[in-house]
Amino acid sequence: MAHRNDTPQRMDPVSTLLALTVTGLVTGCIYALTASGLVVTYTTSGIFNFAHGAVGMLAAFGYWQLLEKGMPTLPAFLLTVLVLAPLLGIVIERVLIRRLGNATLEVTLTVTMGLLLLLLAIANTVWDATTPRVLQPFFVGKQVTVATVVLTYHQLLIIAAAITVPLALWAFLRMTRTGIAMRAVVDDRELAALAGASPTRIGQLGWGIGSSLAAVAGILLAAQVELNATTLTLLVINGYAAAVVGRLTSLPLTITGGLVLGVLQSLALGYVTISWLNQVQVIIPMLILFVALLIAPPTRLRVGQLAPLVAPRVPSSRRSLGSTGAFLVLAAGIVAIIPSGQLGNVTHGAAVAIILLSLVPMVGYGGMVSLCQLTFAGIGAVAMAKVGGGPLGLVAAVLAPAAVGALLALPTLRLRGLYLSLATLAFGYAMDNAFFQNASVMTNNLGLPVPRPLGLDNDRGYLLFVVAVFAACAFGVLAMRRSTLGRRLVALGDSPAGCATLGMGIHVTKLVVFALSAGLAGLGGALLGGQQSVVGQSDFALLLSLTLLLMAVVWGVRTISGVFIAALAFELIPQLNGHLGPVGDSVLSLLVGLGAVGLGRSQNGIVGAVLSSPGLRRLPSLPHPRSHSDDVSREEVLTGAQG
Amino acid sequence: MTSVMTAALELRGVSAGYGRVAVLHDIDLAVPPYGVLALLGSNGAGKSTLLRVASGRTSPSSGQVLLRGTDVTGRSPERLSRTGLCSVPEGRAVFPNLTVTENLRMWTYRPGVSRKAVEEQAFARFPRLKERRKQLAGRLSGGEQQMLAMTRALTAEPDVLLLDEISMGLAPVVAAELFGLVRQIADDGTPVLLVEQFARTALEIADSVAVMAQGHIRVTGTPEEVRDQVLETYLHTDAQPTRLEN
Repeated sequence: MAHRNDTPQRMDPVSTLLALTVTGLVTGCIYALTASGLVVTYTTSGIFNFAHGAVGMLAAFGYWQLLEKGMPTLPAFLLTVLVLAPLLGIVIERVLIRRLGNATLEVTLTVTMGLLLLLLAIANTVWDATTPRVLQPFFVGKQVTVATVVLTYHQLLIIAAAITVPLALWAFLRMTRTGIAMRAVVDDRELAALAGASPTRIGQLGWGIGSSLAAVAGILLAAQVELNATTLTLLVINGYAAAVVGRLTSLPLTITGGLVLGVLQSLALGYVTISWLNQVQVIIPMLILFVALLIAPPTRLRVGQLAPLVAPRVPSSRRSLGSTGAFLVLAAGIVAIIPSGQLGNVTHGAAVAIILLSLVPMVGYGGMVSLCQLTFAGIGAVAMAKVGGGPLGLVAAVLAPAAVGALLALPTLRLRGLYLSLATLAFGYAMDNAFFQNASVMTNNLGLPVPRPLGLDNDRGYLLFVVAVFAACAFGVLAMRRSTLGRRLVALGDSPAGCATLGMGIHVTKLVVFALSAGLAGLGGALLGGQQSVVGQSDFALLLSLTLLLMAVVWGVRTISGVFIAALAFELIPQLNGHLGPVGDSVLSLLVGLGAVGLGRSQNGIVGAVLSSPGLRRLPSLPHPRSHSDDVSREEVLTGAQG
Repeated sequence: MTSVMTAALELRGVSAGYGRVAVLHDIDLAVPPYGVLALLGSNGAGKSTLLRVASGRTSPSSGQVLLRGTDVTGRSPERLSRTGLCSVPEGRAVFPNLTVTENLRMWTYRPGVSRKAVEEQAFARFPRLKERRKQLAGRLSGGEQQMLAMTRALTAEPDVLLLDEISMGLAPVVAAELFGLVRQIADDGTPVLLVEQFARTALEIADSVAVMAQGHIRVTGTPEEVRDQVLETYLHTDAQPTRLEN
């Protein structure tokens, strides 16, 4: 949590240490509360809820609204935490989660991520983000002094909540039959049903409780920092780190993780000064996450999965050469007739398309969901800005992010996809605050000037260049997919256990793809910077990364055409903003969120669905692909095969 | 196999499958209100699918399922379980990450079954479980896990008990003990549908037998009547080799 504490510099060292530790513990208590909610939802539904923070944020706003309407504090709090938030959780479970069933990690990630953006967009639409709001802490003005440390009643309440809530949860999960059944459902959903417990009810209960905990944390947090939708939603990333310490399952470890994180952040804020890093505390969650990932035992590889869905066919080299050529000719024609006023937007879109293209090998082929692709893009832009616009600058724009990507991939090599995604998220968050806001990186408040590469000062010529780079990269990605590396990558995405039994090392493949994808994103970022001529922190914001990722997945991250259309849509939708009045600003997130949420149905994205629709299949003799939307789950097929 | 009394569980014209794959074809099967009915058949004959339909885990594409004469087609597994159908699925039917006591607590969803009664019965019958009551079920031996699973059948006093390959992967001695227990449960008045791949042991404790192959019931009768035909059905109607008996 990035809240400023006014470190009393003139106090004696012991008191300072004490004050910092206590502040840190209070913050850690909120992390612990957040993480407990995450763990409850994860252990009862098997789904990691990225929207957990967004639920807490929405609850905080709801609570604020109730107070504004004149409701007294206690009823408003109880109404929010015990009625509204659980209702939201139950609705989420009913509408989204229940349909996910055995969906792939990639899909569950994007669906909850879409939910995050959706809730954020709702909050920003209902409560205009530019209006500052203050959520009063509980028991305003009341405080006690314990051994030179001043504690407000609000802070005491946080500590009390952090002690009682996990204890109550623990008792509930161990002592009551419903609590035991919640754990039983995770163990064996079917057996729980055969014993007479209703897995659906229990899933709803899990989401209700999780949302309620998110609401408690959100309200307590909002009064400590500020009532801002984005801040509150993203601060929960600290809670993720705590949950990873507990392996997403152990409550005591999770709480310890939260407390340690809070104290470390507070101490770092008070004692550590690194000249080039103005916000030390923001990188601590990432460090903790990485350490937790490194010392954690490797997860068991999952075996016995049937192909969840059939990927769109990969075009042959002749066909992709042909379509690349056709694309270039067509694009050149279009570039020639675009009005000069629109050149900027179109170039921007083409650069975004290159960044999105970097998701195809990572997410589309390998099934590794990277949540910080724009961070790599930003590193590329910064690298080119520092080296210059010559050929060397372009090389630096690829190599620098590629190296960072490989480094980031290292700690997660032996872990499952979720942890990789969490690591990328923490990395993106840290870079967001520590790197792109850093004066020594960005030179000044106006941003970092980025040169046009290769001296392409003519706007039309530059657009043509960017489009050509996109086409060349797309061709390269497809060629990579047809190569040995590509096959290994798809095998890796399909079944790491299968790879292991074949004696195929997966680590090098993972590393190479991570570096490749990061380098590609960096190239796109550099070209984007060249178009804008100046880049700033907001260009590579983490939330924008998520939006882009979801956009790509919704349109089809397994196909080149999918990401290309996604880039077009990304450019076009904001153009509509002016016509939509107050909803305008959030319309992109709303649409993307809704799209991602709808992904449970067609998991190859829109383009994938179109490509595999029977009307478009030219070879009816081929077996029809088994789509996941068939009313039979993989599990049933598996057990049925034994019957 | 016609019985004057209402069958404990009856499948009428049931067809079922997964997606486009049909597994069961127009099955008629009645579990008599007493005794053990053994359902035999080789790998892939459709036995487990039949149990899935009977226990509500898979909906039949056509046909009816009747529990004590009441049509329960399409009822959810949890409702069926609370009404009195006890189904022990194949594999180890316990929750590995719950302790023994917590597992026993999960067996109390049937109305009228108290936590105390379950624990008393389970520990009286299997003293080993009492010693290990605070251990995770996943840490128990295969035999102990199966005993834990069977306590549900013992305490629930169900209208019908469905057992799916309970001997799978167990030492012969343990398997024999389990089959003895099944016989005893049946003698105490609970009708049992016992699904087995290993014909010999099942034939010893069964009162009646049905043999499945390729999604059809091929043969029904008493163990004596079908003994010779069982092997034949296994060999002639199924391309897959049967497993060796231990």
